[in-house]
Amino acid sequence: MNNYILPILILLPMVGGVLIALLGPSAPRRAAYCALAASTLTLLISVVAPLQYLAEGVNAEFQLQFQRPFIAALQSTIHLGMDGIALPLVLLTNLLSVLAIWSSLSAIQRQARSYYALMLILQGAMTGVFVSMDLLLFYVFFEFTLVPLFLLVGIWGGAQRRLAAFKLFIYTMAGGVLTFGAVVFVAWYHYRQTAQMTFDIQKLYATQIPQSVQLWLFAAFFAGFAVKVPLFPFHTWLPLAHTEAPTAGSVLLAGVLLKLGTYGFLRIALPLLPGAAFQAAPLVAVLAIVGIVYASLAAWVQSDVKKLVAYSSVAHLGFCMLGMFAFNHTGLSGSLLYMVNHGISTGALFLVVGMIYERYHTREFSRLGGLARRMPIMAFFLVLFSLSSIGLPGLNGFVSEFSVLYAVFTSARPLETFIGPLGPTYAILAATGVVLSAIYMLWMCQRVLFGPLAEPAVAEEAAAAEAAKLPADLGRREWGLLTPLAILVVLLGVYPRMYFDLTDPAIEKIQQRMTQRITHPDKILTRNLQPAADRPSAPAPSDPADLDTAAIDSRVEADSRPSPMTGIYIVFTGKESPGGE
Amino acid sequence: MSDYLQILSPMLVLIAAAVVMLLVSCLGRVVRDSLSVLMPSLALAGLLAALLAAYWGIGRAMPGPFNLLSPDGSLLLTRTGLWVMYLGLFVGALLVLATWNPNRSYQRSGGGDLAVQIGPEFFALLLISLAGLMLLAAGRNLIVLFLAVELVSLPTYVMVTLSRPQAQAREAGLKYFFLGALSAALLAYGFSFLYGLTGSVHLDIIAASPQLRQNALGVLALVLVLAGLGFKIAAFPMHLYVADVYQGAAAPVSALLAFLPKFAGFYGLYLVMSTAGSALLTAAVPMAKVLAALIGILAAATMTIGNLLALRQRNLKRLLAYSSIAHSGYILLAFMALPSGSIQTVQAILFYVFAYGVATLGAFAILSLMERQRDEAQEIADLTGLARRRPGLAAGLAICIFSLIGMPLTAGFVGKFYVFSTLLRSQLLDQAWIVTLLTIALINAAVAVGYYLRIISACYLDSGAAPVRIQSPLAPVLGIVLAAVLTILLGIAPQLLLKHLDTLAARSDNVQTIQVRQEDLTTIYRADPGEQVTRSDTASGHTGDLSNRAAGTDPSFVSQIPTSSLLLTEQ
Repeated sequence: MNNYILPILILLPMVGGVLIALLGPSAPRRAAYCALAASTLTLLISVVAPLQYLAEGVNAEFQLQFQRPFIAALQSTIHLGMDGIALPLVLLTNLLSVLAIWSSLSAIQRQARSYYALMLILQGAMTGVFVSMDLLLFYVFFEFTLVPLFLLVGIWGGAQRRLAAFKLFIYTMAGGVLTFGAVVFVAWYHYRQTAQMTFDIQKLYATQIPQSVQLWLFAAFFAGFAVKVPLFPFHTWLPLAHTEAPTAGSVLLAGVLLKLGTYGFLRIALPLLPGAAFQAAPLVAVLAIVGIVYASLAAWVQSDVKKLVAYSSVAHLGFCMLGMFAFNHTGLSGSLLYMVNHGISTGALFLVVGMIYERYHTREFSRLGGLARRMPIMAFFLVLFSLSSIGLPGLNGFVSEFSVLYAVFTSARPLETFIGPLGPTYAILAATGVVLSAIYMLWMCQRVLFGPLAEPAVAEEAAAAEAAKLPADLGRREWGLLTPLAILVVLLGVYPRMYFDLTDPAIEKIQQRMTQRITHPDKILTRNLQPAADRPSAPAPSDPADLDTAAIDSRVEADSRPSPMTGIYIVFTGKESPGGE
Repeated sequence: MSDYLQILSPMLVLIAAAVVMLLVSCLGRVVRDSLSVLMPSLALAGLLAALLAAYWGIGRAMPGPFNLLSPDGSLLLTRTGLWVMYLGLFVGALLVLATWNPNRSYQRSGGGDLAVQIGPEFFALLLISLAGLMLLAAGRNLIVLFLAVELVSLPTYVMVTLSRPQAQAREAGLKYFFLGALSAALLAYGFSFLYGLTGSVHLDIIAASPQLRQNALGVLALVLVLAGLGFKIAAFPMHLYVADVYQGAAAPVSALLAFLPKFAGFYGLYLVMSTAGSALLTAAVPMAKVLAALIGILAAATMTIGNLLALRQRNLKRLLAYSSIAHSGYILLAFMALPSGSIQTVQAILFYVFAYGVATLGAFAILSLMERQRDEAQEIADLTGLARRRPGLAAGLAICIFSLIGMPLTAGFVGKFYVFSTLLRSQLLDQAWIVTLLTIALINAAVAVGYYLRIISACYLDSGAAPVRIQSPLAPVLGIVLAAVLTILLGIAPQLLLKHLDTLAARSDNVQTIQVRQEDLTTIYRADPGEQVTRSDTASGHTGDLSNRAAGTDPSFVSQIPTSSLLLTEQ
């Protein structure tokens, strides 16, 4: 019954990390190799997991389940499982962790054992978030990731590391404790209804929560997740944390840790509280759009390359949130793909920036320039990942960005009895972010790569000695780091179907759960066609005698006639309709 | 008689060991100094013997739920009480380990200029204090309860005064003693109201008594009890002494203060609240709601004040003192689940106090290893650079502090989770109240991060190294390692302890045993002529009526007491 792959995925890096901290070799390089071995082994196992998953057939169910008691009196269990939503994120986590550890080889020289131990512990904890099927366990991992991250930023960070680490911890914790309250409250609400204590997410989905309570709960979940994402007014910790964190820390922070927030929305807040999410959607969307525009403008004026990438993260995650709150299939799956794509391209951008920093010990635009001449390989990768981040057709960013915008645009089109909360206005406003991202990204490439060559000398002696050891352009290890990500960028760009095929059933299940369980019918019906009040939620065989129904059907049909965009959707997904079916 | 011995055996073992140690400290200087090296091991042996007495004499002898009632009804040991003994003795052993520092003065007790004076008396007093906890674990009677709580407290006054040669310690001891005496008076006053109302000192009879439920004075009695025990647990208006006392005492003594009197206070409060308090809370007295609201307000005020005051502290001992106040506030929330969720309440109390005690003990133990200019290191700044100098100690401290923050995968998180879940079970107050309390507690948990992080930051993030001497003798390091490992272990696999606490839920306060025993109980109370007089004086014959009914006029009475008290504790 129990499948041990998922617990191994969590425990292997964690136990490996503790062992390295206690017994590992103290030479930085050897500690790194030990950590790399543990991390790579985990990655290999996490690749085996989807093979097993595929062997069982792609469906919406959780597979590779594992269950044993955690806190028996309160019926919280260590319940792990993997579905189409968790799978890509677990793969991303482990891939980026391996790359992050590998990239630290030259950058981390002091207290190496603790560093690699924390990286491995972080890797295990992040995987734990994505595979938890128990709400309490989800929160345990969600919050625990803060500990290694705090220490990574605080000990190995830049000049302002103390402030950055404090801000990171306190912001996230302040939001997180409210989420904790919501977790306990939801379980208790379920208990009051069914007299059965449980923290199983699947069972909690069935809880009937009145709209007023839902709104409070949504606000509590929102507090924790929105800080983590980070959504517009809660984002101020992120640029600082990114700038001060060591390269590997930034890669994992942008690549995976921010996704914990969006994943929390997708897995918990939306399906558990669809009514409140629906009602809050316009507000969330506005925050997301403001975040997109604001962060893009902020990125434009940065003088530090890393800070620019950090702000671009805020903008990208705005798109991610927007797609989710469109409440349709395209939006959810586009948003999930956005998480993966952002992890790949932003993670890669941070790696490239880290490589520049290791050589010149500066990230200031004013001091860098014309590096394409000195480092052509680096220039290739930087341009590639920048284009992916902008969303150039043919690369991965385009697919997700387009899906999200398309989903937001068509959100208000009736879908059975359901009309999504967003609409074309939101999509048009958000699309300005696409233009802005092209501006700041290309501007960054232009400043750093082209123009007159500017190579600042490293001021500190020790740092200069380290930098002198590195080859002028990227070494074998460095382009080895970037190549797998580059391959993914192209692969997901030209053939996203392999991804959609994997995630669609699970996404569909969540989407159905969201749309069917909107517990606030007035909201929908006032925006819906009037007589739809007594229509069953499943499309009933239309009765020709019932003129009203026929009329509605015809209008619904008229509304859902294929648009030019549907054609593109079919190309992406191989599916006829962007809707629920 | 054998029942007495069985119930009291852990306490007697501890007292015996303590007496031996006190005798040693009366011997001449030379003998005393040469023998005092053995004191920690003797104390540890005494604790181990008490643990064995509890485990083999009681725990193993009676598998499953049990009620061990002493012949006169004043002592009732259940599995819950047994676990109070286990946990108390275990943390006591950790304390002895943390204090067992051969470099320190307990072998040269004369040295006046030493930072910390831990003499043979310290270990003897520790055992006596623990003996009080053993007695409390079996208390079922107001007099025993009062005796036990004071037995826990009295040695601590002495310990605070003796622990350091500085005048600060004497001041702290004096302050602690006077306020302690005041709180004892309040407690006794509250108990006297309970006795006056119901004519009995036995908690079950008090709970079953109709007088308690019909008279608003019952609320007053419980408020007084709350105030008296509030001193032990450092709850809001009675918290003023905490920072000064913790700062004045030596670090190991502060660790003890953070655990033992609190554990005793909370368990004592639980005993009263789960019997008399529950009866009152379910009664139709309009003031009952006031009592429930009062506990809620006290909890909220306690945690808020503790956390806010801790934010400003630079002195680590004061910081931990204020944080201990805040934690008392969280634990008080568990009382809101009474009376229907009394099992959850006691589980939450036991787990939280244990998790908190272990983590605080670890932090104080590390502090006690650091010395600055022939005095204890006390400032947060003294921790600067600890991670580079002693990575192991720093990791231990970080684990303990993360547990106090309530980070997941540490025992502190499970404790908080348990307390908050217990709070939500409350049926006493409206949902809005409960949710408000929960929100206040959550915000407090977030505020607490602010000051706890400064400790971790001093160890790990700040550059430089404080000019402190750090010792690492074997026993305290072992104690710290045990504390850290336990904290992580209980965070990852809380079932290790919870599985045992869950069996408390299966406790059946076996109706038959209680019925039979209760019969003896009523005979005893009736047989005492002096008490008859008192009753008719104070409670205008109500209880005389009670005993008449017990004598046979109302045959249902014998079963009435146990079932009603059962209902109250197990609904």
